[in-house]
Amino acid sequence: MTHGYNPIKTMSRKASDNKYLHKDFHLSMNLLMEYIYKNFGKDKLIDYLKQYTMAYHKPLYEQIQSGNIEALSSYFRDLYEKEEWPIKITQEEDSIVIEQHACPGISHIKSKGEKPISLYVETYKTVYTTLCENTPFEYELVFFDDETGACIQLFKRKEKLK
Amino acid sequence: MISCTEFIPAYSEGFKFLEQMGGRKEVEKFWGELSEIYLKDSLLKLMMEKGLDGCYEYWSHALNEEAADFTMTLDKDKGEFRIDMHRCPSKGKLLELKHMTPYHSYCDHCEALYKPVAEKAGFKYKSDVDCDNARCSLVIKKK
Repeated sequence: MTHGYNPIKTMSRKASDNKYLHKDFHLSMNLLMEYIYKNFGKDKLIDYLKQYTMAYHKPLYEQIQSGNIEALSSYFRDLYEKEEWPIKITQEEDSIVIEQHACPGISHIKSKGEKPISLYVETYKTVYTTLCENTPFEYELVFFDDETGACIQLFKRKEKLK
Repeated sequence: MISCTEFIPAYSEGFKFLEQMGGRKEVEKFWGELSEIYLKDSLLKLMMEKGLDGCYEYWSHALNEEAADFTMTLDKDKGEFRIDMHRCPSKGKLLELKHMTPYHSYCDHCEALYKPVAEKAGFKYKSDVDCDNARCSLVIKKK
């Protein structure tokens, strides 16, 4: 059997043929944040993350505003499942604790030999603090390791603080 | 945390934010830097080493991970690489998010990123974009 020269290579795929998981987007996100930080400073980077949160998370924000803690925990379960990242979520009646041994973004950026922006923590702190603004919940980043992104996050119902 | 599965809306909002800061010029400046930094060790390196085969290799990886709906063709005799994007996963995702308005020129970023790389590697780049329907085609061929 002889193999003739074939000058044409082709590939066709439907969206349903693959799982949507392009980890290199973490690199692009890091570059975008670095660009804003380098050119406009910390306050503008935080403004950008707030603007993104209010635009993208609007449906989740509305659910949280109505006091729906279940919406919050199912958002995180779904998010980390899609990201294929191990995480521990402890949900109680008025609180959710999220623990992770490392951040998928920081881990991927470092695995590619790149350096996460020094303010990478703001993708947690600013995003989730903004998400909880004017809702019955508050967000606390209990612990965050800048090197690995290992962290403990706490969402709790404000009324229970009194 | 902004998951890689949430990057596209963050990207689109990033373009809007940069435009608020410095107009279209600022957005293009960012695209230019992103093209140089992000694609230097990936697409540019592959194209310099392998020519159009490098394009095929780069997009085989990226488009599968992005779960795109596409047909990609490399015709070595014609010296042409072509992508027919039947449904762009990025613009398609933005169109599905009814509560968000995509950056008005979102699709422009592809040409801004890839054309300089193709030209640097000695090839011609041409694209035809149907932004409203998340469809496009691009051709990279020998000069």
